[in-house]
Amino acid sequence: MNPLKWFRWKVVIVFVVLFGALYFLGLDPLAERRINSLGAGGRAGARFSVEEVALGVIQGRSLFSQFTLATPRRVPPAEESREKVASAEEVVADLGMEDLLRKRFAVDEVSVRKPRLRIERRADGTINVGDLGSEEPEKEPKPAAKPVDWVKAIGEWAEKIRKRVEERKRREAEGKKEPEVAREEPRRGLWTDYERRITYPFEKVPRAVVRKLSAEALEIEFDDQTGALKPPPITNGKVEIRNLSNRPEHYAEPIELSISGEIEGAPIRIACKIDLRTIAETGQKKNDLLLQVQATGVPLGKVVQLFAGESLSATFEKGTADLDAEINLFDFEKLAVRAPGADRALFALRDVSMTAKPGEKIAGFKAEEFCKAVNEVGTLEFKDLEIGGTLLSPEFRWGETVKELVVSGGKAFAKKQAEKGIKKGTEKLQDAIDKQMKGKAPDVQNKIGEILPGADGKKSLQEGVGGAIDGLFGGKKKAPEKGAEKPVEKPAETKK
Amino acid sequence: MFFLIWLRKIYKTLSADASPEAIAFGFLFGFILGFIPLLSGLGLFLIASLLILRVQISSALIALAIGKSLALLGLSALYLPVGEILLEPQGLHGFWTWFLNLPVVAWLDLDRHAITGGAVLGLLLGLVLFYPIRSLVIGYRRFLHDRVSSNKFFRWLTNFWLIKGLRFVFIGAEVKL
Repeated sequence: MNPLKWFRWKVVIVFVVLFGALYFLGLDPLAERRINSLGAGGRAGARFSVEEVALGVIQGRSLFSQFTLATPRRVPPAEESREKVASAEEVVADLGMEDLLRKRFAVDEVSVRKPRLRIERRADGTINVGDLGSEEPEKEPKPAAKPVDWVKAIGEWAEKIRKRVEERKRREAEGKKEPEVAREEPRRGLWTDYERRITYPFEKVPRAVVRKLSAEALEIEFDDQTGALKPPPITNGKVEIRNLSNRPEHYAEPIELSISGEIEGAPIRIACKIDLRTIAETGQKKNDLLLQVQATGVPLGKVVQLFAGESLSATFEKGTADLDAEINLFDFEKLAVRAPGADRALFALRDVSMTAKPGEKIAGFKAEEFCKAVNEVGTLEFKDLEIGGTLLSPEFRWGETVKELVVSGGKAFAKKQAEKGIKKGTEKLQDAIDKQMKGKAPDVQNKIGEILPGADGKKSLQEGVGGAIDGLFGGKKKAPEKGAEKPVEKPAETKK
Repeated sequence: MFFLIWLRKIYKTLSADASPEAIAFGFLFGFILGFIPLLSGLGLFLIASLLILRVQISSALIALAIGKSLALLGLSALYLPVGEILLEPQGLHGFWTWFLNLPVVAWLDLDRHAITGGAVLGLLLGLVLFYPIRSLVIGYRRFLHDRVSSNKFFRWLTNFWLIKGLRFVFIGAEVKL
């Protein structure tokens, strides 16, 4: 029998016409209404809306225009705009059609155009993004707490997330026990219980996945209702998030996030890896968050002071900060912060001037002494600082750098640091010269003599530089005045 | 009246142009549909298949009615245990994990005990009855329908008003006046 005759072609045509009509005329407005009605109530943990939807199911490419996201809090219409957290001109999603056939919602790539993020610190110290994800907003108003800075507010938010994760785990554990109880008393009767189902085939399969989310020209605006000064916005931001899923513990790859941008003209880059995968052999969840933060030349007065002013024991008048940190957060609680390498500084202050808050302590020393020493040095690199403890009560383990700095009162310390840096730099320079200029030694010696008069063309480079340092910090050996400046600067440049 | 309607349907099904296999397939589809909720993923898939494929719809409706009647009579109590026997064994976890995540299959709600149980019972009943139904249709058409229709006595008998009336009542055949 001809297989073409197995089908009722008239019915097939009717189905095609019906689907076509639904697709071209009714599916997009239907989806738009559905999305807006779901987002209006805040039941999904946030309120959201879109102005236009073009699903493009056949092409596998959906477009959402004028997307806005707000907290689920119900406020009077006049204050509605303050609850707005994010907006984007356009969101384009490439759908994974094969996944859709497998009853999974997967998006291969989401690109967001002109996203704007607005983070507000309310008068009670809470931040607006902290409300996202909570199904029911807190009905009772929070008692007006002592305003805290952004760092503390974010810490409290992280604590909230940790509690939510724990609650979810508890619910999951309870949910798994329920079918056992139901199995003892199977329902019998005219019809049957169609709700009972097996869950194991889907337990290790994420049902919703976003493989890549990218956004360019991101702007993050900070708003402060506590009366404190408003921190500067992050501009020219780029965001890329990979491997987002509803079951990260069973997804093949960890969640990766990278944000880069500028804050007060200073470049900042945050890379984050959130590994919540379950180790197959042991069945244990990793719950591991690794953050890599790099920032260069961040103005202390305008940025650090405004974000973390309350948490710090001193105020900054001038200077910039560099940050190169690996932040590990285990189980969303245990904290470990260190520099990415032994020779790299976790934190560096440059050209700094700071004033201690009365009665405060920094690194176990009186804040006044600490500030005095730092002000004397001006520039300081913290290579041996480690931060442990928990997110809410971090423990600082200061190494020898700070002790030496404070004990020596700054000056002697600065000399020692400079010597170390110069020694390393000159060694490198010497090696490079030896390698590259092999066979041209007399010429090189003469050139060194020109650059570093202390070296005199015959002495080794190190000796010459050592003499220059002694001259600068008042040591026994005297170096010619003219050569005193150059040796200090030259190796420092090499180090950079 | 209900009895008469169904009698007419059976007569029309047996006398229609559809092949015996199409009628048997119609019963198979109908039995499966009769043992599962129509608005489940599998139910909607079978209804769509029934409409698109050249399966005898009348026979499917008869089987659907029989299936629902059997469920009402208590056969539905077997759906859950059968589903459990099929879905729960540890040895079959690998198979079901693979099968229930296949494209399209994932939408059929076969992870529900009662639906898998009901569908399997319907499928078994349909398969068991497939050849008997096919043979019955062939037999009816060859021996009863063709022979009786061409019988002179039967032709003479059907000319009576009483027989024409009875034929109209029971099988809904058009009475030529």
